[in-house]
Amino acid sequence: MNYPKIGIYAGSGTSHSWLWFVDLFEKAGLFDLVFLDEISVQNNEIKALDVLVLSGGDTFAVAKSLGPKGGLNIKCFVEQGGTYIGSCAGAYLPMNSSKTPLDLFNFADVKITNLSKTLPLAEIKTCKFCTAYGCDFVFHPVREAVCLKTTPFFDRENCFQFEAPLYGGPGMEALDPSWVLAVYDNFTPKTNFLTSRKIAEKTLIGNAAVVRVPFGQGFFHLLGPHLEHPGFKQANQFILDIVLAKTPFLPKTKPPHTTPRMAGKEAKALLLSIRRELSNSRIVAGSLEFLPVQWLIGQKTYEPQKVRVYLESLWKRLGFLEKTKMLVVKPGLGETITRTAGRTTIELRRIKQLIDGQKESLKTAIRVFELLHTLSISFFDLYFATLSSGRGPVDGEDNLPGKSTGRPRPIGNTLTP
Amino acid sequence: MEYLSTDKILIIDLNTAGVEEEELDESLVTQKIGGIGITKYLYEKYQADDPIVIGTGLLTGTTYPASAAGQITAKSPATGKLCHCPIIYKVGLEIKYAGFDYIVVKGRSEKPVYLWIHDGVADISDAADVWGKDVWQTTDKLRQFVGDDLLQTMMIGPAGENGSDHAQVCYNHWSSPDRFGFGKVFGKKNLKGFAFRGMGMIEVADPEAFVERSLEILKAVKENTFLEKKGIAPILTALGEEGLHEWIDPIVHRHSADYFTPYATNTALFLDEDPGAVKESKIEEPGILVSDIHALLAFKKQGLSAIDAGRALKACAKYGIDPFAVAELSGNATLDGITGSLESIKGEIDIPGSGIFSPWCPRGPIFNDFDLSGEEQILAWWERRQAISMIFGIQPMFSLMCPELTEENMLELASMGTGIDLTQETLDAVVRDICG
Repeated sequence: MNYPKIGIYAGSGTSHSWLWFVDLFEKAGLFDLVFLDEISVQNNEIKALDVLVLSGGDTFAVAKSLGPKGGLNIKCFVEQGGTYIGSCAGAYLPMNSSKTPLDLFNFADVKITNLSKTLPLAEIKTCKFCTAYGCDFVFHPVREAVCLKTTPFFDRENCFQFEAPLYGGPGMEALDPSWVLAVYDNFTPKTNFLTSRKIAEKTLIGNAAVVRVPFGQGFFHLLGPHLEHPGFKQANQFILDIVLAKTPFLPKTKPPHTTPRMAGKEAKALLLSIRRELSNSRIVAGSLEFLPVQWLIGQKTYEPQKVRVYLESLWKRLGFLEKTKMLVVKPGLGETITRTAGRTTIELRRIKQLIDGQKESLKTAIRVFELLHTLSISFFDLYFATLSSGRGPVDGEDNLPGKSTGRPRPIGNTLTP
Repeated sequence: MEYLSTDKILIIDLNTAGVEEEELDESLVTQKIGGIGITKYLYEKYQADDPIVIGTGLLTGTTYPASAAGQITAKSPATGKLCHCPIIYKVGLEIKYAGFDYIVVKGRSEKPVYLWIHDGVADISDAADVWGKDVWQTTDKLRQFVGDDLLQTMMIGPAGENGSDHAQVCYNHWSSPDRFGFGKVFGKKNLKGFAFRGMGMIEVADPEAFVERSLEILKAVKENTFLEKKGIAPILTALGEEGLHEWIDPIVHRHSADYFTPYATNTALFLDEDPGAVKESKIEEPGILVSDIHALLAFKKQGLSAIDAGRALKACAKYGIDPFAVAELSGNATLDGITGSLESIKGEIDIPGSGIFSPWCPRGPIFNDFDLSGEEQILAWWERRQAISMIFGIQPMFSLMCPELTEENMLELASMGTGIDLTQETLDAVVRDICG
């Protein structure tokens, strides 16, 4: 039994929502995860993947950092049979666009329905309502949970509804109706209207929420809402069905027997250093949450709460590493993690001092979020390498969800109608 | 020890800068329960190394009413006895949330250090930047360094560094119940103090039942009419002192309570700002938080105005010296005389009863009489009540006010929360061991 090798993009321009994909795949027992930044995509490390995942953030910043090389490599990856899953910003990225640098990623002939020359009236004035798009505006009529409905192109036998949260993702019109796997069907009691209900309905209801665009031998899956959000289990299962739909996965080479291991005092010292700096960072990050500050980085607004989202994602996994007898650590990775964690603490403390002194903190905040990405990628490399090493050989035990036949479940017959 | 506990005892050797952890064995809790039941045991275990033992009560940081307190156990240079001092405000519970139930500090450091305890990590940190600074400067500097204004500290000031017999371990910016000269013990070890911060969780064996029962007890507590009052003046009035309200009310800014404690046992006085001002003060350090009712009363009896008494308390808190000792021993009746005498305070303070519990707490019941009469009965009751509150981690001043906080319901909640059957017989044995 092969597991899919899944790459999660966590490079420049991404926000914190890629962490939800980490949680989702870990809960499903899919531990063969690779964490990518723009350099690794440009170096074509995605060639060996089965699935590439790109979640939310600042689409323009993501495109700029990936550049032409990154765009070309993503194109080739999908052409040659890879599965791309993009939610929110990751959905906007491969859509056709005339705007630089998005025009490096024109792979999917899908239009967005929340684009307007004149900005609709905002019922709630929030910085998350719209983004400039050349002379036009991409606006967001609602936030929070919306109701989706699958189409016969997802499952011929059953159409069913499920909820997922929308945080700035697109409504879509696909060139070919057979590409549409789910549509926006309704709003929920938790839907937060940023415009009038009439405009929201016109923009979203009946339009595509999830599309699957064929491209060469592979597919671009564009998800408007964040189906990977941990609070929406049915939506999570939808993603797993996409991931597991394509079998067999690429043959894997077994990890070499010389993969570095660390145990005993050395491992304990490394984990203590990580705990120390994560704790120091968490403490100051917690205190920042009391302060009325936000940072506009590129096109996205970041609040102090987002800092702790990263830190808590690492913190909750530290206990497992501390209980395990053996760490799998590439050379230099331990030093990278402790050095980056230490720098993160220093910069967070600097932000606090700047704010207390009523000084500008944007540049430091940008550095902090860059450090958090680097720290998270390094930490997850350690974590998932160690986690995977506890499993049997690549073609050994099978603990995928729904393992009645030992094969991945086909799409569409696992979600609860 | 799975419940109501971090399961960790921290052992710090200042001689070697060594940091070790031991598991808190359930059998120790079964025998000694918690708080000073266990800090005494740990002191005796490491006695040869002249330790300071920091502890938390078994109920500290839970939803049991007034479960606010930690404890310091050490040999007092003032009395020569093994003494126990409560850790109040929000400091006591932060110890547990920072990841440890008990901390043993043995030996002496070559250079001044402080202990930064956070999320299960114990860092022996260089105190060069804060040695020589007063308590307020130290707390502010560490809060700025760590980046969190909610950092909880136990620090000594110049009094402890210089070996004053009445040096006090202060909590955050404020004076503490330390009447034992523990500040001198810290100073001798080159230990500036502790900083605590943590986001730990406390697991409870039967959480729904625990919370439900806690709220029942809290509801009974709130039937007391004394809860309509607030702050230190009503306490002193209840103890028979006259004229407190007239003397202090003009400068009272607000009252505050320790963690989950229904009565506000602390009063903030504004000395340099209109206490009625609604806007945030632009003056740095405009006042002082007072919890030491006897020290305040002693300054009043010297003839000081309320503002001057507040300034004297502030000077003592900054210098890190027991303000009651200063009031009793300075021999001065003016603010300048008192503050000028801080470096030279000498003499002895009477500590009642067995001399092992701090007389910071009034020596008898407050607001309720607990059906007691006669000085002997009251003192025996007081000693037992101090021991009980420091075993379970109950705010000691509040435990003297509230008959609804009974040994039975403390045992009940402790058993419910830990899943261990803790009996009255065990509690009696622990109290006997502590009190002699």
